[in-house]
Amino acid sequence: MKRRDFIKLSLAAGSAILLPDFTYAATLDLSQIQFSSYDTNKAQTLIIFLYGGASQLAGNLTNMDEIKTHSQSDYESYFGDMTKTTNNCWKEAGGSDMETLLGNGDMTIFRSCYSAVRETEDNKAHRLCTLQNQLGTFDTDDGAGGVLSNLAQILEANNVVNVDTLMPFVTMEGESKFYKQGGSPVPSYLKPVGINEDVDNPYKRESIRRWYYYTEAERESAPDSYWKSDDEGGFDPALTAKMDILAQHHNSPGKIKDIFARRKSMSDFMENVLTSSTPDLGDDAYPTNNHFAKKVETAMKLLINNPDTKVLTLGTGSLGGWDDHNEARDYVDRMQNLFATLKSAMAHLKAAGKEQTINIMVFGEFGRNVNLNSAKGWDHGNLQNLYVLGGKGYFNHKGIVGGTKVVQTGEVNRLYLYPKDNTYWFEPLSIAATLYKIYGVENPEVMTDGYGVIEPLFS
Amino acid sequence: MQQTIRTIKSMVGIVLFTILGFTYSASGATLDEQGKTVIMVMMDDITLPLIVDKPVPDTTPPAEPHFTISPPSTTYEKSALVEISGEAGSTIYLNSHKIATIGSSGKSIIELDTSGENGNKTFQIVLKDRAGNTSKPLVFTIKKVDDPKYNTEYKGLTLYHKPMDHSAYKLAQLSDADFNALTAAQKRKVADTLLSTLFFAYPLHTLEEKINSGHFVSSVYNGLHEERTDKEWLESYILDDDIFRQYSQWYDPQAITILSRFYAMKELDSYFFKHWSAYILTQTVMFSPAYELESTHTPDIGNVYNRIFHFLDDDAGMRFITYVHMMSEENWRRFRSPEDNGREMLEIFQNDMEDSHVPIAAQALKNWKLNTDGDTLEVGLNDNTEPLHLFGTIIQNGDDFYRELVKTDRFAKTVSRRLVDFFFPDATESKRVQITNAIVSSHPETWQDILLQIIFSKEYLLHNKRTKSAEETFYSFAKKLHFLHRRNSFYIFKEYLDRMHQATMKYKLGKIERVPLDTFSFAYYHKFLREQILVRRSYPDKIDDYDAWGRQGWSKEFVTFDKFAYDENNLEQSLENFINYIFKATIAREATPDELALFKEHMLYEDDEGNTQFEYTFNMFATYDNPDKQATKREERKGYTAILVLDYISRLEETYTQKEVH
Repeated sequence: MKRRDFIKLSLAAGSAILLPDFTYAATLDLSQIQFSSYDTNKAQTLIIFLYGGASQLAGNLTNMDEIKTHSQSDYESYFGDMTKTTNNCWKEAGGSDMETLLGNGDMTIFRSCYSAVRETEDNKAHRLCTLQNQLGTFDTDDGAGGVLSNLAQILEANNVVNVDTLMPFVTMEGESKFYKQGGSPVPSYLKPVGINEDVDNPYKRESIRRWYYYTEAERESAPDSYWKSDDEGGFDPALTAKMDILAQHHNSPGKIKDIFARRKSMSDFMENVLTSSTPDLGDDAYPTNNHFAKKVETAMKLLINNPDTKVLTLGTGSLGGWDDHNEARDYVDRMQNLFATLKSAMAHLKAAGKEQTINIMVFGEFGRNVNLNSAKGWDHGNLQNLYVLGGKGYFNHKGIVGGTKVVQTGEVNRLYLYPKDNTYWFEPLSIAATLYKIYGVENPEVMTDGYGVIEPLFS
Repeated sequence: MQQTIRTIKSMVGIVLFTILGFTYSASGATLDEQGKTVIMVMMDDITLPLIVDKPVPDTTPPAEPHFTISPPSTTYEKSALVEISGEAGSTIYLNSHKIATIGSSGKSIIELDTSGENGNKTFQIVLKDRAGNTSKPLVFTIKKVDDPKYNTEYKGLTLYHKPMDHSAYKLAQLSDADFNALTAAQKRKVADTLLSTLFFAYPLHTLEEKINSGHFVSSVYNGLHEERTDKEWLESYILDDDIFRQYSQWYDPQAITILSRFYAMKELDSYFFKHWSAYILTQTVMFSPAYELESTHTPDIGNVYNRIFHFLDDDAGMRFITYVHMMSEENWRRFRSPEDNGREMLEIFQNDMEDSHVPIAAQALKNWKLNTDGDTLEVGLNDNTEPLHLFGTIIQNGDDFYRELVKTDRFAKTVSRRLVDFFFPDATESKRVQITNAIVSSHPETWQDILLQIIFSKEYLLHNKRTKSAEETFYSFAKKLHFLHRRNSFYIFKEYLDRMHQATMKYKLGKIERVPLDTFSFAYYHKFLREQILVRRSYPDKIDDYDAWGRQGWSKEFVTFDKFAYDENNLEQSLENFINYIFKATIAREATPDELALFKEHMLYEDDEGNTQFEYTFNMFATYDNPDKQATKREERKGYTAILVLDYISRLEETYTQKEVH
């Protein structure tokens, strides 16, 4: 039996998780990937990563009564109202907008993204958990590539993207581990391009239309306008292009050379794609005077206007971090802000007719302990929510999936949510598997330590 | 005593006096050839000599000075202050060097240099009056001894350590002999690596002199152990709002001041090195003030950085510095609950990710909390009293936790590894382990022991390849190009660092990647270096206008004719020399033939007679009847050439990269 068939059969038998370790490798082996078609879904994804590890309580107050009885600090005297919505979301922390999204069939909240592996390995560290989630594997050695680095190579190998594809991967958070290069080199054009919400264009070079950059012949060809803007008849001096060519000839292979090679096209991209307008979204308009909303709006414009972009990643720095060890009151406003923006983003997708193809995934490295500690915050936990929006052409939204129970460990400050008995739950690596799947990978578990896709999204 | 002269001088000092109803001004008093005193008296445009009688010669020496505040008989300080009493107006000579004058009170405070090796240090003070009469000497001795603080321990934690001698380093160091055996081009590269690592550089000719001295490496190393900076001047200079704009708290002004200081420091000395060390440490996860967090406050930047600097200046050991830092309010504003703080200190300083250790740490810290009132650290008296097993010993309270943490071998290994990762980000894991093990085997007890051992090592200077940080390129280019700032230059630098994702001291976990090379971050890096420094020339007429954009840029000093060989009868060679000078001064190599050809094609042409001529714009030998105009025009045209060459250099990967030396 071929190795590939063995894996397939095991999956069919529902026993992928029992496969021996040697079946999976952190290093991408393209020969192991079964790829069907990108065109079936034409998926595009916005990943919003909640760095610091967001509390799951905004989307899950199911166990709140029990939590309150065990918590070190009193929830209500600190947070005030904690109103439960119909689906037990936290109304004041974005719950109303969550209900709207759930009611429209636009979103699924998974309440049991939990890691049994981390429980065993005694791991609740930011850096390692972030790395694992962004690499899609617990094997975080040097050879492991990031989820999006792997996806880029798979799409290239299957002719979905090529050197003419315009910015297939875009980041608004710097180069996270999603893009970590694994054992094999990733071509320059597959590496992520950075943008920001201000449509600021750092790729554009200023001060090159000074008169001494031009030859006399160039100046004489348009004596009244050569230095002006393109619209006014200006043009770049030939010298600057010659400089680029010669410098690139001398530059050693590597990231800096790659960036210089792409500078001009990125500059044009910034000028053209991001200046497009957002349709009138009426009551669902993006929140104003809000950096995060501006970021998401820019991300949506880019995905809508440039189908070549397959994935865009976005951190939530402009919302503040989610590592709420103390003074967690801000969390309520942050969540409110996040979901008001996501509601607008869904409206934006619908207005553009893209809710079938574009999806949004929101998650972090882990969730949080539910004890409100002495500093009025939450320490690290091991269960989080995954919010999945849009992508309705390939995702079946189920509303709320998964239930939780409270576990009191007996130690001070160690009060956690765990998956309820017999409920659906999944390891965080299944998020990576799901992502691979919607782009056409039929056996994503070969890259995710055997953990398969989040089945309810596809059933 | 020359009472006659003094009286006249005193009268002259009034400046105005009256003769026959007219008012005169007077200045100067000299002796003429006959020994008579001459005062020049001025009335309108007329100057007349006023001659007075020769004074009685003064032959009485000043009395021997004596102490009004005596020196210590022994000291461990680098200096001692004494007060002496003597004849007012007499000059004080300390060990034959003129140092001050006794004031009108008849007393003067003087500082005695007791730095250097232990042992007896003898001083001689004499006074000399204006007539040249010398007092009997005051001779005394101060015995320099070891500072007893080096023997201070707190529950097994030694607080102070002298930095180890470099002969004790276990990581192989680059010697002068190793350096001198390199080719000229390699020497320039290695020198540039070392200096830019330290946020420093020298103009090309100065650098070449130092390289050719034969002891470049040791002179830089030794220089880092001597203090030459005028600290008082420097610290007031960078706070002068007319020169460096002082920003409100909304702009994180402490960070801007720190950035300004590196630009303003002129000497690569011990003062500079301690600041550099504090800066490096605050960029890492170990000591980042983390001003991105809501719970931190702007002064935390200055508090964390300055505290490390003061500790380094006082020879505090790295374990003591860390112990104090971990217990500080600033660190608690970063990691804010007993569990959070305990977990992160274990991870950061022990590389201990065991979640089972976290509740133990939290138990020890149970009475520590960040009070919501002003994010204030509050330590209660309800200490944990239950014995807890951690670090192979028994701890109970927070003080035990932090103290025992830094006393472990694992602490030294972890912090060494963190700094190795910082300076060798692209080295293989096995190489980093090897370097770390070598450092750890030298038993470092101070941050200097690790930092100096790394940056003077063969591994770092010869075999390491990495992208330079923006601080490394900016400060070194500033020195190479005689860069002049404007009032807000360092606010702009700080903002650009943020956009490059190289923000200083901002991130909760420090600079996980010191130089992010995603497209967006690097695009800002290139934009900053190119547009704020390289293609920006400082205009001489703006030199005193610190608000003018025209002040910021490289100065005319960078391109003066004495910097390169030129021949007005050989234009092509002169241009080549000028271009090569710019290349060597900035990226430590000469231009290649194709690079020279690019610029020559743009700047030269062949006239009808087949002679090579400068294009008008680039004619550095342009002639004008007016010599001032000619000089101005020539500088201006060299400037155009330099901007184009520097623009090209901004597009080279090597400008941003520390290269291996082959």
